[in-house]
Amino acid sequence: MKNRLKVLRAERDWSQADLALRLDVSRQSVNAIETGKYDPSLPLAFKIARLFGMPIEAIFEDG
Amino acid sequence: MSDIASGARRRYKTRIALAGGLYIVVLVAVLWLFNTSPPTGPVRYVLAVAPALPILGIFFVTAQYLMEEADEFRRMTMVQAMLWGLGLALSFSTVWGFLEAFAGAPLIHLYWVFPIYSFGAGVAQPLVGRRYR
Repeated sequence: MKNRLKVLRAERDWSQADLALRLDVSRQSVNAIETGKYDPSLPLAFKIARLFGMPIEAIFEDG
Repeated sequence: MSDIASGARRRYKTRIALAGGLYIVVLVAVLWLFNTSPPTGPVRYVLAVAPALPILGIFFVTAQYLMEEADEFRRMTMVQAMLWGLGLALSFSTVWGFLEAFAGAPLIHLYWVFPIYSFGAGVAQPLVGRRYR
C-alpha cells in the first residue's frame, strides 16, 4: 500500500530505527511498510496515525 | 541489537538451544544404552520415545515464540518460512512414500520429516525477509 511514511519521517528527521523505536516494532517492519510491501494491521496503522497526529487516510493511500 | 522487539527472539534462540542440547544428550544416551544392553518390556518404549520429547519441545518453543513476538511483521515472516518448510516436508514425504510403495525405494524413518521441515524453514527465512526489503 502506498504511503507517506518516508516523507513524514524525513520531515521529523527520524531514521527508520527512530520510528521503529517510537512504534515499538522492528526496523525491518518500518522498512517493509515504507516500501509498500507490507500492510500494517489496523492497530499498528492507528498507532502510526496517532504518532504523526494525522488520520490514517492522510498517511496511507489505497488503490 | 537495540531493537525494542527483539526480546522474544532472544528468548526463542535460548530455548531452541536448550532443547537442541537436551536432544543431543538424550539421543547419545539412548543410542549408547540400546547398543550396550538393549532394554526390554515397557522400558524399551519409554526410552525409544525419549529423544522425541526435546523435539516436541522445539515445536512448543516455536509456538511460544509466535505468541510472545510483539512485532507483527516478524510473526508473519516466521509463519511464511514455516509454511515453506511444511510444504517441503509434506511434498518430500508424499513423493517418497509412493516411491517406497511402487518403486522399491528404501524406507526412510519418519523422524526425518522434522529435519526436512527445519531445513526448508531455515532456508526460506532469509529469502522471505528479502522479499520485503
